[in-house]
Amino acid sequence: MRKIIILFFITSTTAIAQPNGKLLASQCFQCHGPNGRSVGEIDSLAGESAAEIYDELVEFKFEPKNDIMNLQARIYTDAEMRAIANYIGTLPK
Amino acid sequence: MDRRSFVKSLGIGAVAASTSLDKVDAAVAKPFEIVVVGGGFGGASIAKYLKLWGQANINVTLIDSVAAHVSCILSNLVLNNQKTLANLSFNLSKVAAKNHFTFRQGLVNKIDKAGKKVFAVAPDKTVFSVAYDKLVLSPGISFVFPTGMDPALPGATTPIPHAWKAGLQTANLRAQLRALPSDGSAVVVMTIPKAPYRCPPGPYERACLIADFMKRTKNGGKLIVFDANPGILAEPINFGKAFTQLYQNIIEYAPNHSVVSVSGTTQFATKSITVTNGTFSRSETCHLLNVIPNQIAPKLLFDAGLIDKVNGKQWAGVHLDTYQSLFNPHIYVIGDAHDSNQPKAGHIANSEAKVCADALLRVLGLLPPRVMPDEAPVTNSACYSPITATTASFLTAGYRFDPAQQLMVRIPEAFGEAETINGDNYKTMLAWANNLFADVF
Repeated sequence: MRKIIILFFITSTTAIAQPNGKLLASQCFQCHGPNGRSVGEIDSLAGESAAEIYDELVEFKFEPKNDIMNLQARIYTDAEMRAIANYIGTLPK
Repeated sequence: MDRRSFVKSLGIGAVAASTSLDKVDAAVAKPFEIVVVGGGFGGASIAKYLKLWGQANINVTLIDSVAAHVSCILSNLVLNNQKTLANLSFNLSKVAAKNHFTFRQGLVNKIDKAGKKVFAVAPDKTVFSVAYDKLVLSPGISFVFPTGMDPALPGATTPIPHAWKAGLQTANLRAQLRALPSDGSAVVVMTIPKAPYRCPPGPYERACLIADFMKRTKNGGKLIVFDANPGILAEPINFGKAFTQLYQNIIEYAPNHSVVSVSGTTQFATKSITVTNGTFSRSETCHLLNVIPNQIAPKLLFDAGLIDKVNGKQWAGVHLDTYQSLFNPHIYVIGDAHDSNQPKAGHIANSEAKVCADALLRVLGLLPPRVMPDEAPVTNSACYSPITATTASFLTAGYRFDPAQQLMVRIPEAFGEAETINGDNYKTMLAWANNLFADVF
């Protein structure tokens, strides 16, 4: 029993110290559509893997351009980009 | 989302889940009652996301005075026939059914803070009240009308429309544009309010579209833009280029000019305006006068004591990490009516709504407490502005909560306007708006 209580403590502490991927990812949906499913010219995000989303965000953030996604990616920390990618990676296409 | 994925989304492992479930089940016994006032971009977004993230633990009732919200976003495209008002109207009963909340039509005119209920007047003039555990206000803006501009006149025919809340006045402005003389002799005057006002790039965008319309269909003419601010406030490079190059023969841009008075008695007759730059006054007569008045928070918020009038505030003060009122712990204010350095605009109102929904669920014990700085609130703003009937620019920004200042601070490296005005931006603008509409309504 004691083991289980300790496990809970560690798990929950670890979990809530991460940026909130669900909330952060929802801030992509204004342009990319609810749940990452876009209805027009802008790319859908749903169906992409966490690794793909993270790599794209990093590329946008650091490439020497100022298009809208370059600017948007510069809002987020590395931990936030990982949290966004991990959440979007779970969204069905 | 089912209960399992709700808990999973908290990021807590299986052992923790059973503990959290017990807590959530206790809350399910009696759902929290959340009332949202205002069915625009802020209000409709928070109603949707509270239900999405709170599920059966939350009941949401949204109240608005109108049956359908007309989007201000893209409404300048009604002026040049690219969009219709019907394209931009969202029936709030349908939105409520789709997003699992309740809609009641009524003009909210009183908040009983002690009794925790709001009073509203329905279209049939009956008064009803709705009780709340938490109240979210997203009521938008009110105008401070200059001398000579009568807000009581019907929007469809008023001689001097603002058209800064989309609807009948937008159709009126469109009709007046179409009635301009076609021989190049048309004179149009528009005025830009002192900041802060709804949609910083909006007035400059409107000036461009009016000039484009005059250039294409009226053999040109003159558009005088009196700006109460010292210069172009948003996208200065692209709007600057448009004013001085693309529309150099049409637009005269006059910064630092505030409205003194206006006059005009009928919709299609001559109007006049007097402005001042603080030293000299100047008067003009014109065929069409579009005054966008100065803006403040709606009276409801002043009456409810949610604005620090003593210190000259005109917008509702909130804790910017949660949008909880500085003056009442059960009231939250999002969107244009709250006081911050985030712009007053639909896209970011949706962004604020999500941060507020998340914060409210934490206050209600339905999510674990926020951990700072890892979960510092972040919002974003994006806005595409048409410059002609086929090209557009954009403006984007991001904001992050700074605990030291208790402010949402703009992130310098994430702020900027489009490098060029082009057709791709115009196409992206339509896609952006459609996705935003889908995320809100």
